[in-house]
Amino acid sequence: MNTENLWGDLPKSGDLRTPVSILREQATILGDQTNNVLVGDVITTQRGGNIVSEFEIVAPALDNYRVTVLTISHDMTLYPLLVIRHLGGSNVQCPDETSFIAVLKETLSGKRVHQIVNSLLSQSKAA
Amino acid sequence: MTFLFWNLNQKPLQETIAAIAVEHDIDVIILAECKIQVADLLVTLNAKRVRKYSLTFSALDRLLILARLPRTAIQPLADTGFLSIRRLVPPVGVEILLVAAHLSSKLYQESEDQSLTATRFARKIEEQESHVGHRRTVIVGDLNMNPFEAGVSAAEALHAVMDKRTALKISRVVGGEARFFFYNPMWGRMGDCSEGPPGTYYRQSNRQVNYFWNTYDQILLRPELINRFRDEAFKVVTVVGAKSLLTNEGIPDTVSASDHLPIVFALDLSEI
Repeated sequence: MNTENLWGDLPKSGDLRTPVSILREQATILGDQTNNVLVGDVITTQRGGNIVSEFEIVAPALDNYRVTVLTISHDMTLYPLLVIRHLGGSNVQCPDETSFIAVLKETLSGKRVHQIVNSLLSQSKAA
Repeated sequence: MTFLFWNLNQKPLQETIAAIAVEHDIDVIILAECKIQVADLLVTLNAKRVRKYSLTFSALDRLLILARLPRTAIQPLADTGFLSIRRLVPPVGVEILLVAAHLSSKLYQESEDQSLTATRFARKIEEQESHVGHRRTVIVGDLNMNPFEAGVSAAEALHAVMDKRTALKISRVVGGEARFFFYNPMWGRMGDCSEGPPGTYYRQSNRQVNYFWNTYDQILLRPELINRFRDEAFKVVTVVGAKSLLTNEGIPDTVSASDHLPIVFALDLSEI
């Protein structure tokens, strides 16, 4: 007797970019753009069935001072995810990757984040 | 070293802050919900003062930390959400980890969310304790939870207990992991039989459970700081000079002051 495939056509490989990997890409870009005077750090923990990741800017020259820019929280299905913005702006629920990237762009390119980056760069150079 | 914490409820209370600073000889001022222009605040605080206050660096504006200490005495370690973590290195004496907190209000977050957030903050504090290599840590601020709520008292969260002797056991094992204690002296400042007012924040509501007085503004100390905590200097302030911060009914005067009462405490940071 042939065993019936009850799975249907499974994806051959996972082709989704995870939200954490998107954050890590931006962390790498921060280091590249500032010659590693500032670096990005993504810290991921699991909490109550949710995956929670925090995106932080770290200033190695300032005793590793770190400021949390945003926190994301999602379950195993990745989306929808919640973005908690720590430097101003409301929390946002993102239904998919496109909206998450839009919120991330709005936050990271925003005036407040740029002010902080500028301040940390100046202080790091003076340290 | 003396500390003042006050949630100002966005009121222009610079004169009152300056008066408390003089009356209690405050070194470090931590303010939440401060909408006063920093320049105005500094002018008022520093009028006729020899040792002048300055604003310390912070990436977040949810909490302001001002100090009359050398600029290098308060070193920023982390600003994360509703928490500012600083290394306080006095010119003479031992350094401590100062954690200023203003956690989310119950108006915007369920109790369960608050507890989960508190567990995240507890891990952040532990990370910084590892970074600086000691646990001489004090948390001060508006936790928006009472001392008996899980976010403050649970082992996985801030793990703050009411009794010095228990806290001095340093840690206990829960779920196979050592969880370090905080000592929470605010337990001794709740209700009518305590010294001072029954709490630090009063709220009337039509909910089934209403404590009316809440003790959201707290100081939590690691056991390593208990012997440095000066009990006699610890106050929930209700009177500043001739001005009462309470109404005739004995609740915070939200018109001429804040809906929260200030707390003042001192730590002896001399080399022992």
